[in-house]
Amino acid sequence: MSCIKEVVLPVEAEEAWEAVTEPDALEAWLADEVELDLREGGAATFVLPGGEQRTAIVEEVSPGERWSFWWWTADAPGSRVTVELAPAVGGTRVRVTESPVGPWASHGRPGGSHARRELAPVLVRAPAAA
Amino acid sequence: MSGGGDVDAVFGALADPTRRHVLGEIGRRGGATATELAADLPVTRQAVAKHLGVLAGAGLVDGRRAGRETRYRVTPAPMGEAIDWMTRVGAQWDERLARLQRLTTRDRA
Repeated sequence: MSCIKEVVLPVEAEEAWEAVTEPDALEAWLADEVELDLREGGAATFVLPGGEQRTAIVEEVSPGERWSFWWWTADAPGSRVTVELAPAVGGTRVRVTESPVGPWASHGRPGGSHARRELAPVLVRAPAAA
Repeated sequence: MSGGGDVDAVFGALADPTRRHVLGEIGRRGGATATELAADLPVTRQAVAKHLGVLAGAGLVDGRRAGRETRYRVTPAPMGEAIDWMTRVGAQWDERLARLQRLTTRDRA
């Protein structure tokens, strides 16, 4: 199960890449506050409009083409987001794919913030062996 | 209904790239056996079976005997929750990408 959304930006790939990876740019459309270490295994935090804070880990980066990350909150299950760029008529297509991590999405998570602290090191190791 | 231990098990299970691939393949195929999965992976059937055991232990897949093999499928989330999720997440990305498009259009003007 994935949610896929696309938009064509009237800019070249290089500019589109900056728009979907630079924290300053991301703060203009994705989240109010963005901290991002854009490399495999890099950590990130997003404070969404409304104040929801999401912790994230970068899974993969192919400069100029694609990057993906996993994000989650203290009390909601995580999901994986892939942002892909492709040439398109009139500019650059941005395709976002978000998939829930698993069907455990329905599980209650007492002590969610505890879980979040525990999860980060596990995930940090994940991309290295890919 | 479940404590943090389950969540740890899930993330532990997903920390391995081969297991993530296996889980994705099971989902894509709508179900698979260890033999089928091993045919497309550079690992042995035994290794795949071990990964399936970890995924099953975390509740991400369940296995049913089918003849001599066990067929695994991704544990289904309640359909209502799935629809809720798709609707909510889709609406969020619609808003975000509309903002992104306005941003790049304005910069260009």
